[in-house]
Order: sequence, then structure tokens, then C-alpha cells
Amino acid sequence: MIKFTAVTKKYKDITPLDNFSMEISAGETVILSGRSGSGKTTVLSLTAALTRPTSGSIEVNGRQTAKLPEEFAALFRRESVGMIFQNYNLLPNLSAIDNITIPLLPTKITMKQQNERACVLMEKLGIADKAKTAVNRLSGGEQQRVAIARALINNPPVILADEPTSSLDAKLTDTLLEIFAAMKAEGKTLLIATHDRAVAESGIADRIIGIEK
Amino acid sequence: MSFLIPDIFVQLVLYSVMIFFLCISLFVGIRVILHWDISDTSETQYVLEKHTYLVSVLMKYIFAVNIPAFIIFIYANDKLSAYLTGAMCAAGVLNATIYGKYLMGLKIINLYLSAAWLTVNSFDLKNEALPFTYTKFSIIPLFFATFIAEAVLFVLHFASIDPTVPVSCCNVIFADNTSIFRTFISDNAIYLFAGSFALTVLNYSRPVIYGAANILLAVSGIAVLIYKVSPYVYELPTHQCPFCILQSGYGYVGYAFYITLFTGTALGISAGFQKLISGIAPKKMFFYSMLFNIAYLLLCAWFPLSYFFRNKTWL
Amino acid sequence: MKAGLLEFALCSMAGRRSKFIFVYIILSLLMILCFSVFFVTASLRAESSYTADALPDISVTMNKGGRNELISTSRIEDIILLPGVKYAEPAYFGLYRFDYLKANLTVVGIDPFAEQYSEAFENAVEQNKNILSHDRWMITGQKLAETIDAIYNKKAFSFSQPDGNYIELPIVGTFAPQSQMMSASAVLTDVQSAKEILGIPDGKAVQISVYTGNPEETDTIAQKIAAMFPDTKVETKEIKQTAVSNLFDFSSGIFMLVFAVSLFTFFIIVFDRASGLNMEERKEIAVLKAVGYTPSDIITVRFYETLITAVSAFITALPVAMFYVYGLQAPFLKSIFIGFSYIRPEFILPFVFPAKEIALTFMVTVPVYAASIIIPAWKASITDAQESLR
Ligand SMILES: Nc1ncnc2c1ncn2[C@@H]1O[C@H](COP(=O)(O)OP(=O)(O)OP(=O)(O)O)[C@@H](O)[C@H]1O
Ligand SMILES: [Mg+2]
Repeated sequence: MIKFTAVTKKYKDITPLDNFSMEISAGETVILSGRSGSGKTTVLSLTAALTRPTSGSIEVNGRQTAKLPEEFAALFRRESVGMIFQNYNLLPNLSAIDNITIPLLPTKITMKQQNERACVLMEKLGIADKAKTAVNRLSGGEQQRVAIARALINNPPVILADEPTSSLDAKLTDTLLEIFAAMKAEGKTLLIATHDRAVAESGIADRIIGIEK
Repeated sequence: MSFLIPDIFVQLVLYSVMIFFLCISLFVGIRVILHWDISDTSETQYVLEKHTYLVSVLMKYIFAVNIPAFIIFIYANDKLSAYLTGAMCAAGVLNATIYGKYLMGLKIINLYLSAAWLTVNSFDLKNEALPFTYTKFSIIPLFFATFIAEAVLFVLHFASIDPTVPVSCCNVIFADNTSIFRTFISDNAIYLFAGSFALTVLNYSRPVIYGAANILLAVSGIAVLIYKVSPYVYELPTHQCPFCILQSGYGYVGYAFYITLFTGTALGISAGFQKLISGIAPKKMFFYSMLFNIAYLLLCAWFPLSYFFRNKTWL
Repeated sequence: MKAGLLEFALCSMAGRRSKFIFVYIILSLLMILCFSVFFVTASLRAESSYTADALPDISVTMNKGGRNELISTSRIEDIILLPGVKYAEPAYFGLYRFDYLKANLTVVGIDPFAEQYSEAFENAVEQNKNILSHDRWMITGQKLAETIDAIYNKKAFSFSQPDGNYIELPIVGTFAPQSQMMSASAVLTDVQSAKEILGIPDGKAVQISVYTGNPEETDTIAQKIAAMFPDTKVETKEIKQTAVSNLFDFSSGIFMLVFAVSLFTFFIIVFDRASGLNMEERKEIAVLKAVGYTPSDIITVRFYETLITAVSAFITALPVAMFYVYGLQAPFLKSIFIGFSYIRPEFILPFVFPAKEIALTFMVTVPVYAASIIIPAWKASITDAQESLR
């Protein structure tokens, strides 16, 4: 499902990834662990084709993504990958439901269907009553669930999460783990970058991949 | 002086913007010709890819602006005919300087050229290997040259119009039968047009031939309009002119003729071209091309037929 | 057209309101300027084509050392003998200063028994048959008749002659020319009265009006007259009309230059403003890219924003300019076009629907605005999302 072969990623003076390889099969849930600055976020970005590797090849969901032109990389992302960011990255001016439907706006899906899909997801995640609220007035946990709904709205086979628990308390962390477990049950491939022990010890992961330089 | 007339001035403004954009395109084009290598993973190639994308946006802009600019151009020439002794319509004004004819020709060529470029472009962008990027950018210097030539001719044409010199107009220009070629075209316009139309219909399912037949159709369509249809619009057998039909006296019907003919044939040619280079036939384009061509045919038939039913005789 | 992206563009604009309001105001002002100049020219051009109806095919005036002088009517006999000349007659017209209104009246002497070559005068004589029974009479344009009636409350008007004497003429009727200028200022009167009011001695005229049978020959005949009388200025109707038209085009051309400079400045400002993305905008684009927006989707959003701004500016500018030109009678602009130099008769700008002018304004402002955002939009669409999301 996700396969990195001898991937090197260089920034001007830093090389966070050097000849890195990994393979994750479909439906697996994998935790990516490592020190701060070890390149976890970089791996997620590469998987989502948000950036290109300096060398090496990447295959995600049967596609070679290392050299995709921008336009195709975006389409690939739309179809195959849902991303959940550490700081949620919601658009503050929009309501919860508008944030969730953003990925669908350029598609041919009608407005009505878009809203229906969003409602179903919000129901599942327990934020249905917040649909019309501006996201900057939601609590941190609610914001994160909006971000999760946005990542799921295109029904992508791969979900990437970057430090999902870093700003959550223990109780919210448990709820999040339940959500992840539900995703796993649906057969999604999950790649979670974290150094939170609670996640590692919860037993949700099939495997832990450590990145060290 | 004439550059300050609003219609001409607007065109100068549009030319400046388009030339600015074409300079950027040329700059990118040269770098693509020198350095393009899709298999290269270096940062330079990646940046170059992003720049090629800019050029395709700029070319879309140029095409979108060029069409109304063309209409303003015809309109401006038409309006200037009021100032020139002897000129009744744009034909007289275009013929008033030695540049007019070539300017008109280049404008049409450039329109078709940019339409063709955009067709290749849309194909290129549909394939993630960007197989036609090199091809389309090798056309850019050519397009740049023809476009600059057009702009230069534009300035020369309007700068050298002299309102004190009498000119000849359409009745003289298009009735001129000293050239055998022209006489042949004018005598056989109907057959040529009918022939090319039949060719397009018969080859509707053979995309490449259909595209080629559309080139014939564009040319013979203009010929039949000048020599056979326009006299019925004017209801005057001696008046053969492709420009007077654009005037208010004839309800601006000329614009309908040209828009249907250009849309139909440009779509047809592009579609054939796409099939040729990519092997995929864009069904919708063929359909719309055919639709517009039929509309043109009906438009051409309407004027003679309605004249015949009213007067029980042909011109 | 992607409805979703259009709606998104609207929301996103609401979030960056001040940026768009600024562009919207400048663009509206530019469009108002362009519309107003075009509308005034279109209206004046229509007006001048109505007045041109009163022009003879060829007018012959006396011109010595650049001074216009009266021409002696004896020359008519030579002119009328030229082949192709259908008719030649002396013309008596001039301006009369009407102090009360601080305006000039145009006094024209006409012979009701002769054929009228102007449609407006022809109608005037037709509709006022009673003038034939008067020795001295005047017919005024409708607007002027109303004005005089309002001031003096009587159907007569006293003219002061150059020698200080007064001459009172009964207003026997009115006429309604298409030209607003004529309607507000024309006084048609019998030839004798016209000569007295304007101080034209016997045997002289303001110009000799020549009518030709065949328009093709007009130029040749004009050349012959010029050769015959080197001290005259000979002008054909066509040349006079072209001169007027050129004058308008030239004045509007000057505005076009001003306009071009403003447009260029506008281009630079918008280009600059659109290029500089702040953190928030950068982040917004990065988020869009991360959720699968292609560069063309992002450019499409920008394009819709431009379109919305341009259309709103257009919708604002059009009625404002219409009101300024036709409602307020284009204060300031109108004076520039018809000249401050001497007081012309006041007249209302005739309404012509300026379809062409609207199209031209659209074609010069919107593409320039669109051009100024293309490169910034592209730059935004290729920003490095990974970097902005860190
Ligand atoms: N766009 C960039 N330009 C330059 N350097 C970058 C860029 N992105 C990441 N880096 C550098 O690459 C290294 C790896 O960064 P990355 O964000 O992948 O680490 P991380 O493992 O996610 O760390 P953390 O746990 O703190 O989030 C860091 O040293 C970082 O400074
Ligand atoms: Mg990180």
C-alpha cells in the first residue's frame, strides 16, 4: 500500500531522510516514532505527495508518486489520502460543515450530496450539533474531530495523522483512539506519527516503525 | 493620431498585455527547449514544470482576449470607413494600406494557432508524463514571432491610414476578376463548400480526415459567404463583401456567420489534431463541431431561400 | 463553472474583505471615468450628426489672413455656372448674445418661399405656414420658446441691433429639431431681420451654400471653387463632419492617455497586492492543496474572486456614470469637450444607448484586472504547501 524505496529527502543543509525504506500493506495501522526533528512529518508529506523526494521511489495505493506533476499529485491526494494535522489547519472563517466539505468543492458531487456526506460523518464523530458553528469557537477536541471528518470525507484508503494527541488530555486521547480503531475496522491504512506513549501502548498499532538517523 | 480613437486604443492596451505575457512564455519556452527532461528529479526541472503551467494559463488568457480583440478590430476598421473617402466598410479600410491584408491574414492564423496550441496543451496536461510539453514549447517561439509581426503590422496599418486619399471598396475589391484563381473560387464556391461539407459529414467517424476536411470547410465557407450568400443578405447581385454584413444596417448578422463558422471549424480541426497526436477522439468536440457547422450551413441557406420565396427568383 | 468553488470564493473574499473593497473602489472609479468620457463623446457625436443635417454640401466662406469675413453675394453667379452645381444661395446666420441667459442664440435667416435643404428647417416651414402672411417673423426651437415665454410672458422678442436700435419680432411658431442644441438656441427668421440683427450689409452674406446634384462630384466642384476664388475657404460637408468627429476622438483620446496611465498604475497596485501573501493566506492555500486542490482549482478560485469584484464594480459604475452624464449633464466633462472658450448655447446631452461604449469599457478594464492577478494567482497555486503547514 505504502512503499518507500531508498528515499532521500534533502533540504538546503539538512537531510532528514537518508536512504530510507519501509513497506506498509493495506489495512495496516502503523506508528511512526522518532525524536523531534527526525523526519516523521517529512515522511507523511512524502506519502501525501505534498513534496517530492530528492531521490528514491515512493509507491502509494498502487501509484508511483515521487515524480508526479503538481496537478496529478493533487488529484492523487484527493482520491487516496486524508491528512490530520497536529494543529488541525482548519479555515477559521468557515463553519464546521463548510470546513468539512472543502475537499469536495472542486468535484462533480452536488452540494446536496456533499452536505449529506458531511452530516453522516459529523453524526458518527458526535459533532452534529456544531455543524453551523464557526470553527474558531469550537473546543480543541471538537476542532480535531472536524479535521478528522474533513480527512475522511473523500473516503480515502490511506489516513495520515501527525501528532494527533499532542494537544489532547487523557480522556480525549481515548476518544480519538476509539475513532482510529473504527477507521481500522473499516479497513483503512493508518500511518500515525507520534511520540506519545499512550498511543504506542494502546495496542492500536500493528507495527511501530522507528526513524533514526 | 488615430491611436487615440478609443476602439484602436483599447486594442493597443490589450496588445501590450498580451505581448508582456508572450515575453514571459518565450522566456520559459526557451528554457524548456534547452533543459526539459521529465525523467530528471532535480529542483530545476521541478521549477521548470511549474513555469510551464504558468505558460498554459497565460496562453489561455491570450486566446480568451484575442477573440473579442478580433471583433473590436473588425469593428474599428468598419468605423474608420466613415472617415475614408470611398470606403463603405472594413474591406475598404483594410485595403487602404499595404499592411491591411497581411494583418487580417495574420490575425486569423494566430487565432487558429493559439487554438491549436491550447488543444495540444490540454492533451499534454491529461497525461502525467507530460508527453507533449517539449512539442508545445517548440511552437512558442514561432507563435511569438507571428504575434509580434501581427502587432507591428497593426501599428503600421493604423499609422499609415491617410484620410485624404480615396480608396476603393468591396464592390471593387471582391468583384476583381483579373485573377484566374479568384474567378475559379468565386464561380465554384457553392460546389467547393458543398463538397467540403459532404466530406465532413461522410468522415464524421474518421476523426483525422474530419479535422482536415474542416480546414477546407473554413476556407470554402468564407468563399461561399463572400461570393454567393452575401449578395442575398444585401439583396444586391453586385454587392459581394464579407464585411458589410457586420454593419448595423444588416442587423450585425455577419457576427453570427463568423462565430458559428469559426467555432465549428476550430473545434473540428482541434479534435482531428488531438486524435492525430494522442489517438483519443474527443467525442463531444466532434459533436459540437458538427452542430456549429450545420448551424452555419442553415444560416447560409436561409438568406437565398427566403429571398427566393419572397421574390420567386434567384439573384 | 464550479458552483462549489464560486461559493468558496465568496466566503474567502468575505474573510479578506478590506483587500477586495480597495480594489473594488479603484476599479469602479476607473470604470466611471471611462464610461463618462465615452458616454459624453457618444452623445455629442449624435448631437453633431443631427446638426450636420443643416450643413450644405459645400460651404464657401471668405477667409483673408486667417480672418473670417463676409462674402459678397455676387460670387454666386459664377459658382452656379459650374457644371454639377444644382443650386447656390447666400446664407445668413450668426450668434446673438442673449445676456439674460448668458448664452448665445443661433440666428438663421431663411427664405420660406425657397426650397429648404435642411430637414429641420423644412419641417419648421411646413408646420408654420402662417409665416407666409407675416413680413417679419421668428420661429424658435421648442426649448427656447419655453424659456422666452417664462421670462417675458409674451410671444415676441426684442433684438438689439449692432447700431443700438431694437427690432421686435413676433414669435409665430416653434419647431422641434432632433438636435438639442438647436432646440435650445435656434431662432429662424426672415432674411431681412436676420441681416439686421447680425449687422450684415446688403450684397454680403456669411457664406455661400452650394448644393450639388451628385455626391460623387462634390469634391471636384469644391476644388474648382477653391481655384476660382483663392481668397475663400471651401469645405465639404464630409470634411466638416470628419473634423467635428476627429475633435471628439481627440479629446477622448487625451482622456484615454490619462486613463491608460491610471490603468497601468492599477495593474501595478493589484499585481503587488496580490503577490504579497500574508501568513494566513499562505496557510489557507496550503490547506487547500493538502486536501487535494489542484493548481487550476486554486487559480479558478482566484479567477472567481476577480470576476465577482469586476462585475460588482461594473454594476456600480454603469448607473453612476449614466446618472453623471445624462442626469447631471456631465458637469466639467461636457465643458471640456465643447470648450470653455466661448459660451455655447446650453443644451441637453441627447440620450443614445451606449452599447458599444459599455462593451469597450468592459474590454479595457476587465482584461487588465484579470491580467494583473494571473501571475500572483499562479504563484499562490504553486506555493510549497509542505513548508507552510509545518
Ligand atoms: N521545508 C523545509 N525546509 C527546510 N527544512 C525543513 C523543512 N521541513 C522540515 N525541515 C527540517 O527537516 C527536519 C525534519 O523535520 P520534520 O518536521 O520531518 O521532523 P519531525 O520528526 O516531524 O519533528 P517533530 O517531532 O518536532 O514534529 C527538521 O530538522 C526540520 O527543520
Ligand atoms: Mg512533525
